[in-house]
Amino acid sequence: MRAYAFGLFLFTLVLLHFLLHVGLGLGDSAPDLLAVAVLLAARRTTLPASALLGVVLGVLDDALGIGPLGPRSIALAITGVLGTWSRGFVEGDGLLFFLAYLFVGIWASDILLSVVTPGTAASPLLSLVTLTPLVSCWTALWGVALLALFRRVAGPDA
Amino acid sequence: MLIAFVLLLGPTEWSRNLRQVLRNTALRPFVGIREWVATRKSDREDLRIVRAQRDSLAAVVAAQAVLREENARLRALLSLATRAGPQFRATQMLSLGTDAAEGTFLLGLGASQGVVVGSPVFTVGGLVGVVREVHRNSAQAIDWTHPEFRVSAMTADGQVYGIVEPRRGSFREEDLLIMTGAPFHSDVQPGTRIVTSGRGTVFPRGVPVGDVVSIQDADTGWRKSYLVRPAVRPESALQVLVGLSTSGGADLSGLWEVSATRTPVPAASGPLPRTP
Repeated sequence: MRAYAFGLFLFTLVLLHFLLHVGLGLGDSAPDLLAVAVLLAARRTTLPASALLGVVLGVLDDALGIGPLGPRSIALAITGVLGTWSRGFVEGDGLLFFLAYLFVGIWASDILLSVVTPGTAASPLLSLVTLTPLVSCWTALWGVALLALFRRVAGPDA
Repeated sequence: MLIAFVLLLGPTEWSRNLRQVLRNTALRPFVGIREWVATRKSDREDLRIVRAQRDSLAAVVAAQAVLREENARLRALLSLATRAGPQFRATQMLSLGTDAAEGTFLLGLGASQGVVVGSPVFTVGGLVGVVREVHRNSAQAIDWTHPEFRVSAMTADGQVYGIVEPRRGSFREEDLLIMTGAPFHSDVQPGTRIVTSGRGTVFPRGVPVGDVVSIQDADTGWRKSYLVRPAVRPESALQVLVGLSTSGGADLSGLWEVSATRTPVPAASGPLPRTP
């Protein structure tokens, strides 16, 4: 039951991501909830499952552009793998922990994406140390708020 | 992970087919919502423009100002599609808000309406971009901020030719264009209008691209580059005109009354500034 509820929560995050980004056309001002979904799933699933989720969501995201389908998939898959791997040495279940975890994870995901797709920004390094942390923080806050809402609805053990 | 690498390095045809399938299935509802939202926004915008035009006209009439100029402006706003003729079709421009779709937008016209890869896209202000992928009833185009965008351009008087390409700013709002490959002896003043040259068969001749802001670079003894402020910001465009398969090589100079006169540039006065 818990697994179903959590799966439904992840599905809602994905729907919300595409609704905000594509449906409402909010673009960069909307949080990257795909990365949030992959990072949260990575704390509960096996390593192959989190990598597969990253690939699937990455392909969906890349399908809206005109370039190859791989870059976002690779970035999200590696993010999922790192998230699962982090369970071995970082433990925590509180909202503050998830805030820090999501912040670092989303930042890492953006760095990975800029490595896979080099040359798209005017000054990528500057962007990665100035703008990206702010965006990661904003997205992490969204992620934690939605997680708190999910726990409230589904119960604290969900 | 292997799947992701295969998709990244595999043939483009795979990506294109899979992308098309995903757009028509899993992503179709979101694109549909985007179309609905854009239509509503466009309707509101049209009403706002009509109200603004009515107010402007009322003010002009009340002040007994010269109506001819105002008429010309309204004609430019409202009837560009009519004047452009049947080889151009008006449609809605939908920008998708994902990182992968940055610098691209969807059009509500496709192959069945005559849109082909390479069809130019522009608004009443000037050039927006070019179509890169065509489907039956839709197409995806890149705007001038996309790294792969290039257009052969010239000064409005036809004296200086070059290639215009995007120049990324630190932030997207700072994105500009740069005209490269201009002859070293050229002396293009700030405010000079840059238009498409019509060389090649992609873009019609005479579509405004932007206005020169400053000189950007001078390769020793060979050529100059000029920084160009774009005529149209893609984020502000809602309705666009798309050139159909018959539009290659057309001359649209008359639509914008392109001339050699310079547009005043407030920031650039005195000698031509050089950017570092």
